[in-house]
Amino acid sequence: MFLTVHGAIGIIIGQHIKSPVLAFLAGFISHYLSDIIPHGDTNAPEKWKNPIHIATAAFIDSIILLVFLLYLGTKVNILNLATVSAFFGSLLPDFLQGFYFLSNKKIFRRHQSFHNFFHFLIAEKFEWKFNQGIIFQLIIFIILITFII
Amino acid sequence: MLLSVHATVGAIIGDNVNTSLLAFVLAFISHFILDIIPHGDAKIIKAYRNDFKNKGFLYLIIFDLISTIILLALLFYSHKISFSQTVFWGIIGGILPDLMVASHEISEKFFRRWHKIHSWTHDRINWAIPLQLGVIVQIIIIYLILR
Repeated sequence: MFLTVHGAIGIIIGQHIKSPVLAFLAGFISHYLSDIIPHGDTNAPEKWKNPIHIATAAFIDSIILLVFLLYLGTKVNILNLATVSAFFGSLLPDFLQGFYFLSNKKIFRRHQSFHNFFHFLIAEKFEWKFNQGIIFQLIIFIILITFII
Repeated sequence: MLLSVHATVGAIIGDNVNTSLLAFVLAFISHFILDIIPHGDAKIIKAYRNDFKNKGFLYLIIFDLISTIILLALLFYSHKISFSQTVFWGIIGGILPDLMVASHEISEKFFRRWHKIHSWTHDRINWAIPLQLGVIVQIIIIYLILR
């Protein structure tokens, strides 16, 4: 899923759990659980399935996430420890995936397999087309925003 | 040029104008003007186009995103700039051209015209400077703007 969607889920978790440690853990777990939902990225065009295209897509996703955070900053207070912890917890699995692309070290390879397990749990049987997946995630994101603001 | 420079300039423009639209438009234009200044990323982008496994571009993207977040956080935390709607739209205007270029790079379809304009501004001064020097140039630009 997009970083933006994971980040939004993390912020909602942080708004409801006061302990920063628990919020971080809940955000971290939420990433894998939300990745179970089919979201079209396994149907991305083959020519995009290389580290640079993934990094460019992550770059776009990160900019949108940054803009989203700045926008939230004009509406609600998100700068408290629990929200920030849950937010980073919810993004961490994708950062670990980034390290895997950069280093290909054993520990990151293991995490990548673990991460992929959740990705393909349902997607093996049912998956959106790539474009449908983008629209689906956009709808989820809009619904999530209504919970935050 | 690094996103952090464009975002900082956009924030400063937003802090100095009264309307969000003006902040957005001026910051958007500022992006292309700033990109005329040689900033040393041509070689690394060329390397990426020839070899998708070239990791230099990956490291540059990561450095760029992290430095943008840190710089913006420092600007707001130090009260150099106070966050407002105009600052928000200034930042968006400042970084939007890079978002459009990245979208074109992966889709090869969207924002073709903007991509051409963006490349055109990059090619105005044809000095091939190394990336390290380019980063120093950009740090100096940020320093001069914030002084």
